[in-house]
Order: sequence, then C-alpha cells, then structure tokens
Amino acid sequence: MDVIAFGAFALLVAAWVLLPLRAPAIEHAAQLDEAA
Amino acid sequence: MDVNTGDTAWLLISAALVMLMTPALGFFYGGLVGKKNVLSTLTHSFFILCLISVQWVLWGYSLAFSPDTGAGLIGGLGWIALKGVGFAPNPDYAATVPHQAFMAFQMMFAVITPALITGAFAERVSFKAYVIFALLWSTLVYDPIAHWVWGTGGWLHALGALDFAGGTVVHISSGVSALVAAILIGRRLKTSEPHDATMTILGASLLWFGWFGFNAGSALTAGGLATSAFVVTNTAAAMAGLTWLTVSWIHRGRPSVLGMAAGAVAGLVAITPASGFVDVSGSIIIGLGAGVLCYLGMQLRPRLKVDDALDVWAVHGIGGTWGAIATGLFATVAINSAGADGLFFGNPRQLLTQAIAVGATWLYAAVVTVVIVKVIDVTIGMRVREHEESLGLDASQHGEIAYQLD
Repeated sequence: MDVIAFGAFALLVAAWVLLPLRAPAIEHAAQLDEAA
Repeated sequence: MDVNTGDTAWLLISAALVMLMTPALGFFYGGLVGKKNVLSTLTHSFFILCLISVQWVLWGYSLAFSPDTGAGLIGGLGWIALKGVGFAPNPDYAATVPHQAFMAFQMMFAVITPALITGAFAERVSFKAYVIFALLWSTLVYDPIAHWVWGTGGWLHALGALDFAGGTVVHISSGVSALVAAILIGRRLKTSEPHDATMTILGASLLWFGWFGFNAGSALTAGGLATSAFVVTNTAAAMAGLTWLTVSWIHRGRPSVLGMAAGAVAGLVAITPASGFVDVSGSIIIGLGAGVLCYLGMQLRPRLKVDDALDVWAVHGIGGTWGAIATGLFATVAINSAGADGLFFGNPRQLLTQAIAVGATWLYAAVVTVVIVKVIDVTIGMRVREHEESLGLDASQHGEIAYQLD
C-alpha cells in the first residue's frame, strides 16, 4: 500500500509538470483584455 | 463509570465543529447556485439546523440509539424528550463522557445529513414541501439507518459492518436520496452558473475544518485514535483535492478551482467511514479514488439528464460508497483493535460485510425517499410554480433577496 501511495503522488506531480495549460476560453480572454 | 474531562471537552468541541459544517454547507451550495436563489439555499441548511435540533431531542435520538425493539431495525421510544439520557456515561456508546454529550455530538450528524440532500433539488423546491420532506426523511430514513449501523442491537452493527463516522449513515443515505429526489422532482426550468465561487471555496474550507470534529470526534476519546482519524482525514481530503484538480486539468485543459474544492469534500466524504480504521497510506489511496470516481460520477449527470443540481449523488453517493467499500479493503486492527482487518490485511469477509451495508443503505434510502417525495408531491406539491421558479426562490419563497447591488 505504501508503494501505491507514493506512486499515486508521484504521478500527480509528474502530471503538473507535463500538462500544458490550454489557452483561456475566448470570452474569458476578452474579459481579461477589458480588465487590462 | 467516571466521566473523563478531557474526553468530554473533546467531544463537546467536536460537536460544535460538526455544527459549523451545516451552515458551511449552505455557503458551499450557496456559491454554486444563481444569485436569485442564494438565500433560499442558505436557508435550507440553517433551517434544518433548527428543525432537526428539536426533532432529535424529542424523538430522533430515541429512535436511533435507545435499546433495540427486537429486530435490529429501530430503537424504541424510551428516550423521547431525552428521558433517561442524563449526565452519567452510557457504556454502550461512550464510556467516559456524559450520555448527553454523546447525544449532542450525534445530533449534529443528524442535522447535516438531510441538509446534504438539498443540493440536489436546489432552485426549484417549495419551502413548505422542503420542511415536510426534511422532517419525514430524518425520522423515516436517517434515524433507522443510524440505528442499524451504530445503535445497540442494530442489525448492521451486529453483522460487523464498519462505519467510523457515517459513510453509510450520512453520505450514502443522503447521496442516494438526492439522486432519487432529483429524478422525481425533475429538471430546473433553466440551469444556472455558480454565482460566487469564493463563497463555495469558503464553504469547502469550513467544511474541512468541521470535518475534524466529524471524524476525529467519532473516536469519542481524546487520544491516539482521534489523532489517527485527524491525520487520515486531512490526508485524504488533500489527496482528493489534488486528484480532482489534476483530472479536471487532463480532461478540460485547465486546473479547476471549484473542482479542487469539490474534490476535497469528496475526499472527506470517502475517508469518513474509514477514518478510524485505516493508516495514512490507505487514506492516500482513498483520497485518490475519491478524486477520480467522484469526478467521473459528476460527468454522468448531463448524460443521464438528471438535474442533481449541485452533484450530491456524485460527491456523497459515490464518495460514500467508495469509502465504505475501501474500509473493507484497507482497514487494519493495527490502527483500531476494536475494528477489523480488511481484504488487504487478510480478511476478505470484511469486504462482503461492507458491501451488504452499502447495498442495504442504497436500497432502503431509495425506496423510502420515493415514498416520501411522492406523498408530498400529490398532497402539497414538491415544486414551486413556474413563475416562482423564474422569479427565484429568494423572492418567491422568502420575500427577501441576497444582494442589494444598486
């Protein structure tokens, strides 16, 4: 069980490093522009 | 039997922590609804705090915890209005605290459970119907199931089912009933977007805080078992929050903040039955499972076309079921000698016992909720009228609004 627990946490950390952040939705980007 | 002041202080503080969870739930749900239904959603939680606090001392506690009437299904009426529930400990339940302190702690569980259901029928149920539903549901569903699992002589208790703090009693019962109610009541005229995510994050944070009383308080003593329950509760919540956020990131391309809050709550739900029986590695796996399974459950909602408005079934029904089953997998007597080993520690029978408890709770909660909702629907009606729903429940049911923005 300890191995599964360590493995699960390691997978999450790997995902955060590897996952791209998709560009914000168009309407959200427009709001950000407006705010700026 | 002597009263232990340390245990008593811990249990009373825990009762207060659990009390806070019900208004916290109101904030959690309140942020997720549209702005014309905020007050009514908060009221669902606050009202039930008042309602069940009275119901519980009058007859709820007696039905749930007084000596069994013979079949393991329900307690008697010997303790109505707290007759015989005094300040000496009751060794059947908590040997070192006043019986009334144990009663007060249990009262807060009885309060929050029907409040959980309200997320399923938010934004469309009449207040009058809700009042009757809450009273009937608490008496006919919560009290009997609490007796089965926790009452002296309860049949699931006798069978050896493990439920440390309410996976079956609180979360499966409310989650399944929420699904049934959402199906029977029908969809909202128009769904709404969360009107205040900050309110929901605040609610989730306060829920997490209160959950330490819920789970660590269920040790009923201030010692090692309470400490273990505290640690695994925090760990599972954290792991489930991280997992939900990551799954949503993979699925939707961005890490969801509201998802992380919902995930933490799902983790708290899932660890609840296991919190007095599993070690920290078990809690990490339970949190991981909660994050994945509850997220998947939430994706089913649009496909099933069931308007469980705030995903009560996905979080509490699925999370509670996973937690109850996981208890049968990861429980170990190394944590709690009064418990049992699970499958991973050489006792497959415990998994079967947990499955029986889950199945019985699902079935009973679903059937009785169908009857309650149908009876209310044909008598006073469950839903508000269309123009009242369009106007919003804050104005149409309470004549008040949440925000004066002009």
